[in-house]
Amino acid sequence: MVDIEIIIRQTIYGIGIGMIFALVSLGLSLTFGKMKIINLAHMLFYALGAYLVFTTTTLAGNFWYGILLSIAICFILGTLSEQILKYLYGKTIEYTFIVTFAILLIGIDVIKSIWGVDYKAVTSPKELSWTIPFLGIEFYRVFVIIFSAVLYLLIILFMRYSMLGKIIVAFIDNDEHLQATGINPRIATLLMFALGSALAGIGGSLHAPLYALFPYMAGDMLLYVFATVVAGGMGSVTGTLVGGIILGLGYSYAGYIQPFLSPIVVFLILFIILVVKPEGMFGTK
Amino acid sequence: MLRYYNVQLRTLKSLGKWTDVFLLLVLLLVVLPLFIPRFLLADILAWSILIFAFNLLYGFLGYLSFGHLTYFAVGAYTFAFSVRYLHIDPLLAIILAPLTGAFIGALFGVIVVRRGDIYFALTNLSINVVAYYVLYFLLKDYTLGDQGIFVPLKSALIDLSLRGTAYIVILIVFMLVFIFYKILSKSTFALLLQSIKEKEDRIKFLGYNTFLIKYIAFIISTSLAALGGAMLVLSHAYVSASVFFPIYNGEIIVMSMLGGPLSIYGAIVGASIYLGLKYVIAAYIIRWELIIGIILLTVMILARGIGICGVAEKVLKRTRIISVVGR
Repeated sequence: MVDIEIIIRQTIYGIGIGMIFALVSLGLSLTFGKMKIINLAHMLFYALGAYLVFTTTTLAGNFWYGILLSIAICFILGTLSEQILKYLYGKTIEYTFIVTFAILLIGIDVIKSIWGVDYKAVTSPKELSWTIPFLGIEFYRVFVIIFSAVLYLLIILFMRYSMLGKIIVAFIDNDEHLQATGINPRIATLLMFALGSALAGIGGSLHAPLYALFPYMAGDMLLYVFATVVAGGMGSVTGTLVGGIILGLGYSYAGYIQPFLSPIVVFLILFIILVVKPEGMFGTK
Repeated sequence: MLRYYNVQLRTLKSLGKWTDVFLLLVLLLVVLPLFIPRFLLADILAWSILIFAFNLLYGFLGYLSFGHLTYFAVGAYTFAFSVRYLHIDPLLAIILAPLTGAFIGALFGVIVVRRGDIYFALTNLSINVVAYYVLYFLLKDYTLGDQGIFVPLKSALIDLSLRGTAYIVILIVFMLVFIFYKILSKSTFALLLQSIKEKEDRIKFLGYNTFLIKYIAFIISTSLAALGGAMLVLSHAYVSASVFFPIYNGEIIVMSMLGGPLSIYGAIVGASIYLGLKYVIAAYIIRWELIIGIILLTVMILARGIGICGVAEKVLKRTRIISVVGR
């Protein structure tokens, strides 16, 4: 008989990890859905966020500086990466795949040369590391859920009510009409890349205390992020969130039974979703 | 598919069109073993069979599979298990591997080939992830996971545990695959695949069952990939599950794109450049990813998606040397 505590605990773990999946995948989902770029280099921002948190916790002993730093740096680097990736708009998917794969390889190497190849561990901040009575969960897990939920809400509000957000939505809907109204579509693409990269950085820095850091962590996460993007439906903000949470729940329930079952269950879910609805849960044809 | 008479195949009747096969055989049998270590050559041949399988789907049909390592692994483990645990003769196991690959392909193909694009890539990827973890953990008693298993290659006819003999067998299988692929690339079947790539609906209007055509192409591809897997085990006499980690599917695409997915020489050129570079660079520099990344970037930007062979063929066609080489 499965304990109710264990169910609650695994659910919280699952939602937390699913939120991180969703945060990291959102930028990829937007750019992939519209510009048809498989941006593998996107995963570098996830790794970068995690490593920046590691740097600030070891040097300054502060977790929050790490998050702020990763937002700032990933935002700037995301803007810069768009300057390279803009040459890929309208190219075939495989072409973008190879070019970004090459960038990913180079980026992994840069990370190796800065932080070294060995595994690193990050401790969660003191004020969040207390355990919740009765459940035996570190409060940090709950904090991840709250933080990402607030962030996601902000993103949805931003997309719906601010002018820049509306430009992104309009761009995804119909870029030619957007151009016809006299707005430069480059604004939208720049914003999508910058915001997506910053979110991936935050996702990485939130994930760092729950995970071991190593140079290839970008490649490790890549599979789950792809699964999230496709399961939720490309270019859909809510779809990414729902897809991330469903996959995260599957990940954590299966992980309780056997750790190695996690990826199997995640990809079985993805397979079933794809077979039933090839365009993803919230995707449009 | 045999009922469609092949107009293009007639061009292969003249002997001059087979010079490249002969040249390749001489190169791989006599010339290259002098400069390149034989294990690397065997590796290149095994991988290039996989790239042939990948190119059949990607080059002709335009279906990018992000999980062809699954079928590679299926072949490798069919070979390894049947030799190690069932004590089947290795030469027989070589035939067994593509049959299993075809069976697995027929099983998953029904679902997988329904759609192209990202659907095809991702369903294959999810099969690969599941297959990898099943091999790595569920079958750990047999595959030993990372540690890998050694395969005793004693055949009744020839001693395959000798590296030289194993290389000859791999070379023979590779040449057969190459000849098969060369004939296939001139057949109506390949023409149909290419036309499906252009516009599937029109082929449907012409009365073809496009699903069946794609399904057959997929099965051919998976059985070729499985054959490649068996060759990989034959060349190492060893197989470990870590080779089939899903991320390494990227390497397949890289090899294919380096060589050129549309050319029949693309597979061998791409595989030898990528594996050769990896071998040479990793021996001297620890940070081999940086160098390979930069090389990839330059080749991709210069070759614009048709690969080294694509560019070479274009140049040769312009200078009309191509008629001598015979393609």
